[in-house]
Amino acid sequence: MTTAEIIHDKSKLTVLLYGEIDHHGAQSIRTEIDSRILKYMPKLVIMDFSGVTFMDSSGIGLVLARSRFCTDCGASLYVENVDRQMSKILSLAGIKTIQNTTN
Amino acid sequence: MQNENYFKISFPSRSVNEAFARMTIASFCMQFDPTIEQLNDIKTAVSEAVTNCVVHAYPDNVGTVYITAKLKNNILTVTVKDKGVGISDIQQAMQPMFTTDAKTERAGLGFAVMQTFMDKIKVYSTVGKGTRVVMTKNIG
Repeated sequence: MTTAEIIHDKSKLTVLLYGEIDHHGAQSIRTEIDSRILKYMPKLVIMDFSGVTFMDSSGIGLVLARSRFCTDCGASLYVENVDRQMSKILSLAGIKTIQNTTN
Repeated sequence: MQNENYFKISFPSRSVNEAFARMTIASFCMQFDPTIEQLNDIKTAVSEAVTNCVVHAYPDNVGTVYITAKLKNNILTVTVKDKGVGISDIQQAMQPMFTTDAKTERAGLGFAVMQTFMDKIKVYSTVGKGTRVVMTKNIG
């Protein structure tokens, strides 16, 4: 079961992802995320992967498509709390992730 | 001898079974004491192979996906097979970022993930007959 908890705070939209992100799960959350971006038109979108227990290449599609969508909407997209396994997958698409050590 | 085992399963190519397939391979592998990283690698590779069956092998209908796994001498061999449309150009299909599925959000990196996360991968396919992906990984 994949779920997304979306928190809107002024110009920031935080998307907390939970569960397993595969082809099946990604389908169910992407429209929800996009519709919230359209609704709030944030300047900053953060996708937080700390609640994600598994991710395959469907996660790449999910991030890249949201990145394009954010660009079209004038927002910046940040990906946070990605573990080593997810980082390995995202790096196949040239998505660099920074392991956050300060907070 | 003690360290040898195998299983065979088949299930419909419904996307909900992507999770079922990787949980099954994970529980099979658990008895051989893999590292967390090895286990994640195998789950991810199987997830990609099954997703290919769901999305590409049977694009307009639900077909059957067959998985066999065998462990012998610390080498895990997983075969994911379908009787779907087949691949006309395997080399092109395995090219990173190549996808025939432009309308959805597939990144075209399924085979790249399988290649990265497993030791060896071989793809056999006949158009109109189906595809067989054989992957091996040393979990000794």
